[in-house]
Amino acid sequence: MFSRDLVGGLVTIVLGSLYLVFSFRQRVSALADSIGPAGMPKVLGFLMVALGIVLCIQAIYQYRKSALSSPTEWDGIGGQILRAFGLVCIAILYIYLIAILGYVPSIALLLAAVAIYLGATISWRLAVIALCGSLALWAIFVLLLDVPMPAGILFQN
Amino acid sequence: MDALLSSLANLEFYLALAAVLGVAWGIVGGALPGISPSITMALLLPFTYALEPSMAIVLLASTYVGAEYGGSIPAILIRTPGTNAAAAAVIDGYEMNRQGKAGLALGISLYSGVIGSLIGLLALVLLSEPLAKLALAFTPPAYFALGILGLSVIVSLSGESLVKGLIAALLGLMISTIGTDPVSGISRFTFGFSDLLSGIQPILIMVGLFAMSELLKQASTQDEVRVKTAPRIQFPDNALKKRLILPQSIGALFGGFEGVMPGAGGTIASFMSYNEAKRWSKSKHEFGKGSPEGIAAPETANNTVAETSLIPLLSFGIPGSNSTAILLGGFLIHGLIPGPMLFSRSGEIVGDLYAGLLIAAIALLFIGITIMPACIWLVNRPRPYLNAFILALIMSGIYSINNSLFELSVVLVAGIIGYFMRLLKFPFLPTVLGLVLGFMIESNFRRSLLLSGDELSIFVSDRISLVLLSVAGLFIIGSLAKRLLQTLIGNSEKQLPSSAES
Repeated sequence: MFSRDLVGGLVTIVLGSLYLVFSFRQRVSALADSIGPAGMPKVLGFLMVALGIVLCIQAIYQYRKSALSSPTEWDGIGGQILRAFGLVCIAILYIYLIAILGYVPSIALLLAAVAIYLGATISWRLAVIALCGSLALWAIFVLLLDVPMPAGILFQN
Repeated sequence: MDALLSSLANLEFYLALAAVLGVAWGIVGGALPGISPSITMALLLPFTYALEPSMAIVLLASTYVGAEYGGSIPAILIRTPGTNAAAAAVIDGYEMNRQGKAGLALGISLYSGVIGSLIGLLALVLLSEPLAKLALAFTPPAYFALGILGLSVIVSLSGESLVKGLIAALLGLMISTIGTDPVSGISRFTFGFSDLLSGIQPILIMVGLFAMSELLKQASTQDEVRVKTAPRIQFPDNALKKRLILPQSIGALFGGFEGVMPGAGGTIASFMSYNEAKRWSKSKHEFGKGSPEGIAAPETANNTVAETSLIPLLSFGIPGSNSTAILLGGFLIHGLIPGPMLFSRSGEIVGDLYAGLLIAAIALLFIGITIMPACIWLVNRPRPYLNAFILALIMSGIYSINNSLFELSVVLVAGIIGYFMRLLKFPFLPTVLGLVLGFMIESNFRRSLLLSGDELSIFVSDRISLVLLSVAGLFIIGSLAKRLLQTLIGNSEKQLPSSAES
């Protein structure tokens, strides 16, 4: 019953509704034109909700007509999402760490963590690749392109 | 043509270098399965901040040219198209590889790619400026209509589901409303984050949607077994070159036509040209069994598109594909607005772009030969290391745009949205179009109404606006009719076997 289209439609309705709520709460300036800052967002919100409903109706119609939502459609999806979420966590940790450790140690840790997470074995080779990779990226961004990468709280002085 | 000749006469070394480096990077990126030309360009975009505008634009455009060719390398070697447009090359390319002719297949692909690039460049040089002169008379209503014309291609970009395409486009339009209101200056949907006051840069969403979501997808699925090969490149002899003239002409024709049409793209062009090359070939029976013509036609087509898809971008400022949307980002970063005024205000940039593309087309041949061993090496790298470096490159590149950690979070969120869009089978390109065109549509619509005293008739009384809105209407109706026809044909084909059984 809960095909990808139906889930997509429901998510669209929720997203459109939230957007609409904030559109109606939008402050209006005395300098605003006849449409105002909330004009287009309101139209977009209503369209989003309407299209979400259409997608849900289509999904239900398809399910009743030919039972396209096969039981295998969602097989293993929970595990897949969790694995993807693991990578997101590593990226979030990197964003948190770069402000503390600085660019080179953080990017080396990111390289090593992602490689291990995706199946690389922990070895001297991995450590060397992570270290050399971080130094190469530092050379490209800091030396070559003159980008002021974070020094980190620990190494600021 | 004058712009091209003038730029070639005063060609500076750094431009030639940008073209050569762009092609080299493009081939490497295109050869990586899952890394599309747009991702390859998006990864490079942060680097262009520190470059001269001409160098940055040439670098990005040359990357596109290189990536369109590079996609055929894994298509031929490991049956995995590096780009969508290279999918047609898999059919006969991989068959030739299985027959021990991988070197010849790669040679035909490169030879046809160079020819396609040169023909595409000629079309670009001859057609862009006349169209831009026409567009000089643009007013706010005309720009609004132009935005609507850009959005109208969503119907043909929506893939299997038009509703999903429209939802994806609305998502892009919604993101474009974040930031300061274009007329009253009041903040919208910023939720107290000062970083959002100036809006969300399209590049952050593009990198998130394309590159980050691809990494998340690859992290969530099992690694497939990949075949390792080490062929040498081999070019066709004179007899084969003669035989390839017809399929290459067909490829150039479709590539030229599809490139000019916003939203058509290299994938449609390569499959259509493959189909027509088979129809007109004297050796139809060879198609699907390792036909050289089956590689030449689609490869010429998608490399022609790499050049001709710049026509709507340069003339009207409309990105007709993911890659040209990234290129548009490159223009905007340097304060250049593609469209009618580009030719008069920054004519030298256009000339440099043409010259850069000519060098890129020639460089494609030489780099294609020399870079082959490196490409094969990269394609065969263990995926954990490859993906770790791609993520590090994204994180470093995005931070370098504004030295903002907040923007890394935006990319991450866009990546998560992209991952779920993939999961629920929503297309990306309508979101990118909505995002890029949203501000243009809203601001010009409201400006037009301010000018006309809230009279909607201004959109009809302005001739250019009327023509563009009519074309958009025709495009939408045509695409809807085509969809309806395909649905009806699909339904009747489904009914045929069942009626035969009964």
